[in-house]
Amino acid sequence: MSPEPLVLTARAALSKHHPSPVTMSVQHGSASGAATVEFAQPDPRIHDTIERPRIVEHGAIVIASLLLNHLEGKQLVRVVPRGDRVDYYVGEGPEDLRWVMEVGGTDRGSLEALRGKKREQLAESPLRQPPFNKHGFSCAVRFESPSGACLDSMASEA
Amino acid sequence: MDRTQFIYWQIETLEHLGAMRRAYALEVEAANLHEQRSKRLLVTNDPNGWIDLFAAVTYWGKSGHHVHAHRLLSEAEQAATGLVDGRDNLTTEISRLQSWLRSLNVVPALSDLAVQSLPAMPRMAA
Repeated sequence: MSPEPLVLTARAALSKHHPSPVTMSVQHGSASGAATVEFAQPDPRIHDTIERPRIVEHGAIVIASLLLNHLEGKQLVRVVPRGDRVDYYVGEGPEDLRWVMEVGGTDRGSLEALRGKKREQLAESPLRQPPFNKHGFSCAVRFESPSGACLDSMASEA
Repeated sequence: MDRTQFIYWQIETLEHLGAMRRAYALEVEAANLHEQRSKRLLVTNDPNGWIDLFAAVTYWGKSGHHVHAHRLLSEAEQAATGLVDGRDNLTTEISRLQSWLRSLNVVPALSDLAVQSLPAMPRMAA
């Protein structure tokens, strides 16, 4: 996956609420912890040129990628459109698409509510069913204090 | 890096900037790349080929090549009916993409216009 377009928006997502570094609560399944994220300051004009929902969405993708790498040893390998939807594929190498991910971010909404919504979307994903039989991850990220992220896994329906 | 991924983010950026016409050539390139990969994978019964096929349909649709997109979906529908595992899931997704294609409001590609019938005229022009 090409990270360049995401990096700027991720910095903007974080820098609106925090100086660098920021410590976020992390929930990985039933385990809890904290993670410190260090980031460079973005060009301040980015807040005027890119809509906030897009900044938050891209920022969440970057945080999810970091969590996947640190907690699961996996990476976001492909982003593929499917009609009006976009699917994020996770694997352990460039051609490995064994997992699919639902990811979402919020500035100040409920992290638990977003976590539930993403888990629900993952549970209903056609990619967890035959013939795809993907396992899945769901990730929810909140940027405003108390900032935090949740990463959950779900087996395929096969 | 996978060329389709580079293109995905290019298109994302161009669409955000409102430069839809600049995205057209990239959408066609992405559609071709995904279609080629889908054929390569499906011939080996790799279900990931369906992911590329749906992506190809998406890019053909967005670039105005609806005739080709619908033809791909028709072929996909026929292929799916021959499957035992996952047939219902695939046919549901194919139907959803057919509806999505019909809802798109994009300028048809020239190749689409070429296969359309001429409009009926109520009377001969002078």
